[in-house]
Amino acid sequence: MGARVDRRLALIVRGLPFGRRAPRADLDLALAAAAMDFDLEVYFLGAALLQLAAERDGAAALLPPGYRAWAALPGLAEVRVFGEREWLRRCERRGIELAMPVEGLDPEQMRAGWRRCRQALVV
Amino acid sequence: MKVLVIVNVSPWGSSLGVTAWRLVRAMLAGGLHVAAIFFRDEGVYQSIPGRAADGGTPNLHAGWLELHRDAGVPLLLCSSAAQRRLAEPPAEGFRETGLAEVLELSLSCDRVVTF
Repeated sequence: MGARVDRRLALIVRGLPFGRRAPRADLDLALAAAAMDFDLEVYFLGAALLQLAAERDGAAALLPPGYRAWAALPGLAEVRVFGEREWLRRCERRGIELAMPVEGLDPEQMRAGWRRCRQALVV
Repeated sequence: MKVLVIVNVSPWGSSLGVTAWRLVRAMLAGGLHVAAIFFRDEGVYQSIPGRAADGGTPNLHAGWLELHRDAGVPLLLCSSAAQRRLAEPPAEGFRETGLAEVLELSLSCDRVVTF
């Protein structure tokens, strides 16, 4: 039980989709942590949740694909993914489908989740 | 206390690099153990020396190397970020590494501070 708690890692993702040219930079960190048996929790802050929008494609703007690869994460390890409840509602209202299941949290619940983790990495 | 510092910002794109450098200096002066500084994303540009100095603000490249030389703090560059951005292998004092090493390192630390 103790060892399990020790490997709990919160990955706090702030980056907007297509905000930079290396879309996999955040995802690679999550994949590495999942592959190394970290007990991973991924928190998307605000509009960063749109990284998971399944239908987005930046090819027309000469931006590389990559965000859709987030969908591979649950297949690699048991990962919990969180977004802000308000942003989940926005996605639902606008018909934006997310590439993986996301649990909605209020800001205070998010902060409590970070505090429960042994480490938190902000990307 | 053992601390891992992660720097995501470039030396001139933000003032956070200076803040990170000042924090590391203060932590070392206060007796804390800085396990490593990991430069990720645009932070890998911190390993490149500029050709001109600017009065009133520190030369960060020299500053990081000084911390490495004087206190033995490892200066780690994210290898994939460095290979995308840097034409040459990193200067002496900096070392490329993978995410696995950094994640393992984070497990041995009491705190991770990200800029």
